[in-house]
Amino acid sequence: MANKLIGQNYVTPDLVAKVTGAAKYAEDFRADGMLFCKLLLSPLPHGRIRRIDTSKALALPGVKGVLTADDLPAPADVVTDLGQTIKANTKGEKALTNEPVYQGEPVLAVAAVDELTASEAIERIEIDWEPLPFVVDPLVSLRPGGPNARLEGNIWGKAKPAAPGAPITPPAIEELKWTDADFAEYEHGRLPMGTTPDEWAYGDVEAGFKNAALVLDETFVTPNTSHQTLEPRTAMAYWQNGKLYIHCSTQSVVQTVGSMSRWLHLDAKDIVVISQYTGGGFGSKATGTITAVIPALLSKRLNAPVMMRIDRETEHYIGGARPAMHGRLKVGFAKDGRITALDMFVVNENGPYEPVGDTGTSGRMVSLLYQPQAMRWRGVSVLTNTPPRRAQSQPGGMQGIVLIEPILAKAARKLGVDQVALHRVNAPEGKAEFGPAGPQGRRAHATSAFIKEALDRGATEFRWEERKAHGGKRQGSKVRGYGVSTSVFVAGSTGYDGLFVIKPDGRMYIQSGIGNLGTESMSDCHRVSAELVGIPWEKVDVTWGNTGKNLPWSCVSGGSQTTHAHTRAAHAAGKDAVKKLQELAAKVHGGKPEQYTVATSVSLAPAAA
Amino acid sequence: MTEDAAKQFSRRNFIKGVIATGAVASSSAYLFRSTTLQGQPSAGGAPGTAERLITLNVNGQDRRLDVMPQETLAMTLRYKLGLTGTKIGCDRAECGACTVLVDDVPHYSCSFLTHRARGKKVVTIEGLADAATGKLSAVQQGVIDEQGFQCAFCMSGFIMAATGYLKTNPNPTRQELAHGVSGNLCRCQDYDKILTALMRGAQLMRG
Repeated sequence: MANKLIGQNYVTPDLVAKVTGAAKYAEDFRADGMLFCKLLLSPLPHGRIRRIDTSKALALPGVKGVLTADDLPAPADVVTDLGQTIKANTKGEKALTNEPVYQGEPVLAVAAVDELTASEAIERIEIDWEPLPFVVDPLVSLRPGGPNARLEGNIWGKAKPAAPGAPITPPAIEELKWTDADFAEYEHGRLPMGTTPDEWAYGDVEAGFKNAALVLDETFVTPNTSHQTLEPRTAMAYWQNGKLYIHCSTQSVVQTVGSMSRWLHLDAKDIVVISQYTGGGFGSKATGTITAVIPALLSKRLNAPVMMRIDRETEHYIGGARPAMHGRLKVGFAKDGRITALDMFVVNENGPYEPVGDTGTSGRMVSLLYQPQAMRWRGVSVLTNTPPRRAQSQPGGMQGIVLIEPILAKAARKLGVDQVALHRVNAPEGKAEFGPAGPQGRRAHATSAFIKEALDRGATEFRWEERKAHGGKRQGSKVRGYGVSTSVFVAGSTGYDGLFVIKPDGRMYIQSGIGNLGTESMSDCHRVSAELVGIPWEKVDVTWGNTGKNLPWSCVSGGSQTTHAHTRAAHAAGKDAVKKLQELAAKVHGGKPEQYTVATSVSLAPAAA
Repeated sequence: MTEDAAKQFSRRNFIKGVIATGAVASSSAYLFRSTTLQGQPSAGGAPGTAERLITLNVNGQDRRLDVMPQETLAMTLRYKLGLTGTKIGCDRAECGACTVLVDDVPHYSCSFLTHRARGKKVVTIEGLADAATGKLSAVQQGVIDEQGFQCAFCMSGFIMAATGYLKTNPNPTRQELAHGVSGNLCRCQDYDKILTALMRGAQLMRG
């Protein structure tokens, strides 16, 4: 039987509000007596505040208060969904700081009756700065005597393994420098390869190169790419009856309560997150954004709602970027293009704060996607005084693919092998293994892989054979080339609670804790519940985007996992409902539960005799 | 898009307009609710300054407003008229999220001084559906039918730009419509789906 809802088109419950302008994003809310706050951004890439003089700002009529880093609560420890405690990283990113580590980092905030007054007050604040050494290029920092982004060093050390039941302590910042001899390579346009804190390998890499028909050794650098969500990370907050109400821009909704709770050191039960619509995240707003605590704290102190409108310039600084990756790949190819050996070396631009995962992911994704017969990966993520690097759609995997694909194109040319064929011969199949062996000696593997089928279908639909024949020919002022690339990323995780209520009116009321980036997972995931119970979609109401409305726990909306993970939770809830309805029917009308079929509509009214 | 319309979008013209009014509009200076900063003229007007109490026709209704000389239409709509469907994405005439119609021509309201809208008809996203019946406009319905857009922060601007463009060219090719809304950016990279939705809207409009 064909599904009535799953796989069928429908009008999502958020769409009419979007086309009429009724949909409210964070900046669209107003509250009585609402104040505005503006941020003072660091003019230095790295510096320390010796003294702040706010007297002239506070003397300005309409200015209500100033919030500095000294007013922030100490960051709380993290408790994961599995109950593991991770001690707070005191060197991690905060909402405000007295030691900014990138230009544009928020230093303090001023609240006033309007934005013009707040902006004027910012201009009147005097700060005595102590400039500190800074570095914006990871290679400069790795040079002997090169500057460090942080006073303690330029890389994150390794986190120490925690004893069972003990909290995990965050890694410390350490220093790594390479030698002048290492940097000799740099003068030849090749990435120097000094020591790295992280390394793994599988197979016999040297033998792979020895047996190769072609060996290429190439250096590439991928760019930093700003997220630039069209909705800046604006937030508005107020307190009522001891609870914080925060309208913010976030990818997740219920999971943002947890991060606000940590950042504010506030009990989760006293936080209400409201975000029905979010204007883009791309990984940079996974569980909200740390600067959103600024209006929350100002609001508490001033006993008035506070709006923090983030303008585009500020968004450039605080919004985040995909980290640039410097990569050098030595690749051995057999005659047919099969990769016999791959030696991958990456230097990642980490930004100034928490270690980013892109570095390690780049190697694992390249290993999965191109299945080298033998591979070694080495990498280091170097701290830089650049705006924070954050996860961006396919973090790390994208950079790895961008680093290797030009080499594959070159190999195809040199070997006389078709580019699609070269990708096909290296494509993963079935339960393809990837990365290094784990502690049990086994390598991780995919559950299924259909890259070969995708290449075949792609080549047909693109008319690859026909079009590549025209590649490289001049047409007027343009020369078009044709190429192929494949892509992969990890997805899927654990869904949590599925929750809905069927009321005597015959309608299904679904509660969703998922955020709404317009990917519609907050609605799509729950279609399966209605499908199983047999309730038509017209009789389904979805509530989302306000944790004051008893929303259930759901997974973080990031890494393209929500629909995959949470549909299963909704499926379980749907099956549970069917079982309960059957039991109810048997109790009321007699017989056994399994004799009843739940279908088409639900009525709790007594059945006609 | 006509060449004249394109000219009106330019930042240079906007800046010239600002200079002409003798005020400096800062991207960080908004909302003037109670400020008495820097000798800003009070309502009623000091000699030689622009009048602040003006009448604005928005979505068919005359609205009496207190407007600063350097105030942009986007801020007036959002913070004085409560019309928050008009979004501010960049506030510097680049993204198009704030596009509204002024006398049927799409304008970036972040770079259009409210005073310039006196005596003109301003239409925002809230003014497109039929006021009496609530029936959506053709372009709005096209977006519903094709589930155009993802996060939709750019959507109001796109719909207004398309609505304005279709008034000058009701039967565009896909290429022409793409050009018609080329002043609007979508960071979710949904352009293909957006164009499909807007083309559907154009088709519905023609009946």
